[in-house]
Amino acid sequence: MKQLCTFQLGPYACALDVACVREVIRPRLPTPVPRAPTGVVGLVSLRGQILTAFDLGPSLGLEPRSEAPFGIVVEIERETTSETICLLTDEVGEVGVADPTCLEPPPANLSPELRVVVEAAYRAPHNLFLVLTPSAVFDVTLDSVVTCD
Amino acid sequence: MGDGVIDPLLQEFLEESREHLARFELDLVALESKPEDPELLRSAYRALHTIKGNCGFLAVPRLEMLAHSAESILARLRDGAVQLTAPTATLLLRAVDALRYQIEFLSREGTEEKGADIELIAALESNGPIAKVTVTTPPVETNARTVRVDVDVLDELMNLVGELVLMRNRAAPAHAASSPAAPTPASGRELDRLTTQLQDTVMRARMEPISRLFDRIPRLTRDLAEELKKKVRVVTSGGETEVDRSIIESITDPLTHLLRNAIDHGLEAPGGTVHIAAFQSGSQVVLEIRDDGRGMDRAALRERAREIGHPRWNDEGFNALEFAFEPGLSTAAMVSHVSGRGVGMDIVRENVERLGGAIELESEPNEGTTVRIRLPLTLAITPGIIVECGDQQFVIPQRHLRELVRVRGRSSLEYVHNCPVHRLRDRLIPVVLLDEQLALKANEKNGATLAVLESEGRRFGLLVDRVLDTQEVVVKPLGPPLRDLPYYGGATTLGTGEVALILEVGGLAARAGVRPTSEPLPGNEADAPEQAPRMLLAEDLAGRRVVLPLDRVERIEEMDASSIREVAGKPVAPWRGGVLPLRMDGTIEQERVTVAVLREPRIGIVLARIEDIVDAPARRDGGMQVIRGEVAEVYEL
Repeated sequence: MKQLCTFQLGPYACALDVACVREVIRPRLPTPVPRAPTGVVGLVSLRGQILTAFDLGPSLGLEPRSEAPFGIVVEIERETTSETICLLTDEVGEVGVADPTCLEPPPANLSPELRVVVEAAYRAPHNLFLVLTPSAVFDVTLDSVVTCD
Repeated sequence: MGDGVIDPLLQEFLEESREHLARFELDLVALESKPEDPELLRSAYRALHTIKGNCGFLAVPRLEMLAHSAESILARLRDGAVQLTAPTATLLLRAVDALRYQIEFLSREGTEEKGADIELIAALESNGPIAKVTVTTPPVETNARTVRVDVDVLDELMNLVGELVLMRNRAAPAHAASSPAAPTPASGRELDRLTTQLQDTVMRARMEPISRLFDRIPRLTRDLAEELKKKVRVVTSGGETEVDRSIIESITDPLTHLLRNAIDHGLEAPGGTVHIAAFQSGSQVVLEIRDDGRGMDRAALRERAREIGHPRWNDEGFNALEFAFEPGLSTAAMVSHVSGRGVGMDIVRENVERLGGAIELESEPNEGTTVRIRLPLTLAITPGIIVECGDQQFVIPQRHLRELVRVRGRSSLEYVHNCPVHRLRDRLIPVVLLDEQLALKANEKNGATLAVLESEGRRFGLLVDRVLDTQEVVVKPLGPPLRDLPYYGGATTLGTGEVALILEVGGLAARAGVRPTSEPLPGNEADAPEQAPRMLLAEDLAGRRVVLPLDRVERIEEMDASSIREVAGKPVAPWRGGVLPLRMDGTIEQERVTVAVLREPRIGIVLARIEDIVDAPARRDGGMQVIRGEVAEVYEL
């Protein structure tokens, strides 16, 4: 049974498969990285390991931010290695077992940016969560294109 | 792997098989020169036999058949039924390659590659009928004194120790230059000592003997010799020299290139000898590749330099060997016609310098060529200098720093063809504005500082707001997508706990369009005028590199640490029938200490050790100077 970790990203209630979530942290102000692609807020330190902190906001059509109260440490597998990143979020909610009957296809009126990262919708009693696709998250974060002028 | 868990049994099989295969390959190549050596034969057989046996525990029929066929030949060799010939050896090496390929396929995919090595096995088997040989194998020795540790675990250990060191620095700051440091409580000293020992031990755990690299050389040489049609003897020495594992991985390619160059261009037909030696020298590891061939043709190098328009091709005072490092220069001395690829010395130098090392060339006609590579003992921790630009701190690795110059600001820069330059003792060096490169807003309220840097033959001045401090930093890699940014070479946590980016000096230079130059830095220590003040270069108790003006030093004394007392809260020592007040900036770890006794006022500076007496460089900057490639602080008196 899939378990989902829920969190708030601006106006959107989101959820992510808990299998890729390592932990939830209260990050210090990230160190900015000049010339980094949009979406990279900066670097944070987690017990000595330095992680890149991302803001999914711009990918979802929201205004970029330079800090956030919470960070979800996500480990993304790719090819032969895995990368660990920190997604900056607002409130982090509960982790719960996903009832498969509550999973629906993504809402038809999603903006194009959202449609890239949302794989399903989860209808909970008080909320409709947008379930994000880990591989799409990795596309918009790890594979951000670096441009130097 | 689908479920994220790698079968430990498979993992162990793969690791062991790789090791045994490597062992077999080494034995086989050695056997070619000593075909009857019973020990080598036994060892080679045992390696294959073990691989084959282990295959039986997993469903890997393809590997098992390959190992079995090769093992059969070894059995007959070991029993003296057949002799090892060159064709047989080549055949067995092909079997090694096939086994290696299958092992790596298995490692990546989790299952064996579909298919069968029909031709290879037929060839192996036709070396003679496969007799059913009953073998009594002596038991395989297990080395019970070592354990295998996953590299990630070591890296994490290294990380945590680094953090511990930072916490220690924050809890018990060692910098207290302005007043005699209150003696730290015994527990603080003990914490200090334990953390340092822990750090050293973990760093040692990452060290491996360079023989791991040397083990590949016999096979490599054999292949190259065959390809280039030369008879080559390679002698390695110093395999027991220990080096950080990250260095071993990174030095393999440059070493391969240099070996190829030595065999292809260094040695004349019909062949010769290549010596590869490794040894430790101070805080560096030195790797020398020496061939006894014809040496490099200086005239040809000059001619080629003239052809590509190098400005100093005609300069007799300029070492022609330096031309070998010019990118794009490829004489017949450098391009391998066989491989079709010019393995430029510029690439090798770039790789070596990226590791924090240096490369030297020595060559005399008919006396051969020596390439010497110097590398730091460990990549993980490196001395850095913290600079500020636009209210943000960055770290520059000290190995790139040549000088620090205080300037009024960008208004004091000259411009040549719209490019900012700085006049450094009558030579112009290009200036890179860090704020411009990173799109930051510089803060020049208190002037600015020009850090004269050098990397991969590019020399320039980096304009920053100010220089803050020196610090040993643990270098941590940046992940994607940031690692594609040319400006940064990693990140680190500073003593304050904040994360800071480490600047990639070569990348910054290239981005800013600074071209490589082989010209030596104008002036500096070699040209220091005779009136330059002499300084005492030493290490203080806090481990900082400091300089003291020699004209203030009356004597340098050695004393027992036990003779140091405390009077009215200040440390003193008996001296010449009286009492000498002391300045100590840290805790005393040793039994005997060195004290620099100064005159006017008379005070003794307790030091860990004296390094040397040097002439001060022509410029001073805000308390820090660059001496012999590393920053030293001017001791505040």
